[in-house]
Amino acid sequence: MLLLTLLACTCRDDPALTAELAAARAEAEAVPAAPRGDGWSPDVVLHLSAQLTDRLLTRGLGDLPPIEQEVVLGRGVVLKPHLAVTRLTVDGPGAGPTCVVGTAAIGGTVDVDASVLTGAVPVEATATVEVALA
Amino acid sequence: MTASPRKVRKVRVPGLPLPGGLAAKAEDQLAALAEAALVDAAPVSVLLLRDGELPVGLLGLRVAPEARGVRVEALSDAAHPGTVPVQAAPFAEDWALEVSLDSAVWLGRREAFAHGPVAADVLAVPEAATLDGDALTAVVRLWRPAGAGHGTWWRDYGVSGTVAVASREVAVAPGEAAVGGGLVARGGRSDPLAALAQGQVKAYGSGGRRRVAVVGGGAAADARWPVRSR
Repeated sequence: MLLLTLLACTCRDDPALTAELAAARAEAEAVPAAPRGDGWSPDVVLHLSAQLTDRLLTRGLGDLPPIEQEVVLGRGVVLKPHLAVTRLTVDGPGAGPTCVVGTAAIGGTVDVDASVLTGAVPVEATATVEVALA
Repeated sequence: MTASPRKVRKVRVPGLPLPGGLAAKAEDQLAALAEAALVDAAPVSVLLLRDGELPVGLLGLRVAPEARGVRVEALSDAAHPGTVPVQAAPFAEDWALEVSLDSAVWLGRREAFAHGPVAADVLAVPEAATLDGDALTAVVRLWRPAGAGHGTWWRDYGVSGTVAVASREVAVAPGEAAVGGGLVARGGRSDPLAALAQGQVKAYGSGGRRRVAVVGGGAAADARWPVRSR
């Protein structure tokens, strides 16, 4: 009889504990509302090194359409560039809160059509570029 | 993460076979052309975080410059998110990921409930964790829910282990599991499976490294999950 009583006690579900488990589960599964604006603190931060940032931006900007619009300089000189960003090196933060300033290498050729010279000239240009990130 | 060129300040084109005046004019024209071409282009994607492959939902995401690199700040959908100090973190690798341990515990709790019983109808739910270097100390609450025929109870266990990055994964290798150190049990009188439960914690840990997060490795361009780049 004592054994049966003990078994009955040990095998009994405790409603208070069941409620506690349900509350713990509900609390863990709750998803907070998304914050409005930028007034939130991050709980995950991914830092990208300067070298990796350079590689990612170089790859991204390298996918932009080439610069190919014709330029008429006057005195019978016409340039037809075939240029693209070949490398971007970030120099530091830019003017805006999400901006960086970098030095872009722009490479390719420029077709020169002038009275004294006609042909494609290889070009390695550099440009200071401000890039907004989002 | 997308990038949109905003401004091209100057262009230097050495080597153009033009007289000085025309070369300077060509540089100005090419700068204007480059700015028009780059600024007018649609934003380009430079880093892709695929929602469906992230281990957590994100409620906030923003990007900020950091020294000569970039910092991506995110807010997870953990029930009670912690915080990561926003400061430049020196690191030798291509990238570094910081995750609030409080958030990780809450996300782990959600995952534990979703996973269900690990064995013998026992749920293993993380309650707290601390990190000291690579040494992890955690409290895991073993729950025996109602309806299992052996009564309802919970008991907290301390679990120690180590955290390491292996095969591009952050992995936890639990070591010891023990009750004690001020840990609490409730429903102890109806706890005939306590010994089994403790064994389950050990099995839980010794069954191999348990992935809690995946961060990829090396260059993000080579990472498999969840960080992808294009």
